[in-house]
Amino acid sequence: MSDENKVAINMQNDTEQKAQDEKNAMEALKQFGTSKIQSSKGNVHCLTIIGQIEGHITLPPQNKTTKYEHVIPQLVAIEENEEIDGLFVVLNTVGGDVEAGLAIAEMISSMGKPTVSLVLGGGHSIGVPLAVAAKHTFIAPSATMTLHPIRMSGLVIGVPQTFEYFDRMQERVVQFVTRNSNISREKFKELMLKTGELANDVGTVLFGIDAVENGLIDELGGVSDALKKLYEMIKEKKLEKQAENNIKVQDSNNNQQEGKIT
Amino acid sequence: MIIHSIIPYEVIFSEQSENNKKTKYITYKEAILEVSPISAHGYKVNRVISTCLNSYLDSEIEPGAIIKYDAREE
Repeated sequence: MSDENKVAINMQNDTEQKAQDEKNAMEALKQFGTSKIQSSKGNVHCLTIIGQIEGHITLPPQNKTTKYEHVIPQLVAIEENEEIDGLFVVLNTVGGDVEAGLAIAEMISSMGKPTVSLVLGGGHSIGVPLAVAAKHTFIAPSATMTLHPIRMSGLVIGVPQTFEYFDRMQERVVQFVTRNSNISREKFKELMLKTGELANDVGTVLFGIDAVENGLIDELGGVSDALKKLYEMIKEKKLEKQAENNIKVQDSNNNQQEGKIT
Repeated sequence: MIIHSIIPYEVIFSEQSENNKKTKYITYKEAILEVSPISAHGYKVNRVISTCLNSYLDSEIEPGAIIKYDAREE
């Protein structure tokens, strides 16, 4: 067989192989709804946090809710799945349950994979810790964030301990936000307790630019800015991993050589 | 329960009976779907809850789509 024929046959095999791969990928998409996004930049998953953050009580159906029992396993899956490189969190929320909100925020902030959040529309109340939980945060210029003190339902006893309890609950939010953003504790509390801004509550409404100026959010931007940043972070992470692997290989080579000498 | 929201309590907890549609959550094609049952084994998709972007491009599970779902698979 001439060399030319061999090349032709190889090329044919390649195209057949490619067609087979595509067919398999289509089959996987049909069967399991999965598909590998073969992007050199990385595979990104997107978590949308919308409406009310639902806590331990199911909210009436007129509320649009984000449920922690849905979100938390998804976050674990993203952290564990080797094919997922980063998480993009999109927020348009009016707040909700403090415990559930902080639970999701802690999950996001403790993830090892690159995370970027974008506040669109609104990221109010407990949406603030959720927005700052990502490693890098963005806000759309037209988006707003309302900082205000927590409230409680049910029986309230008129004793000083009630106030102290409120203050301690408030402290959880304040601590999380100051730990995960560049805003100072004093500034955050000042904005939260400001009077004359909201009609029937104390607090402040921050526009996109105000949130950035106060250090709550890292940057003003939109989807393309956020994704660009996320892909940059993914690239850095990959380089870090590569460097780690190289060191490991070197170490094992050194060990082998030492073994030979002895 | 402590609520931290800009929406007043009365609005969050007001019951609106006509809106009280029965919804279920099922896992289908690796995505959580909020569905309303329309027959014994058929569901109408109301909402897709997934972090995988491909789930949102799949016309089979887009909101409004009707899927056949065998209860035994749950």
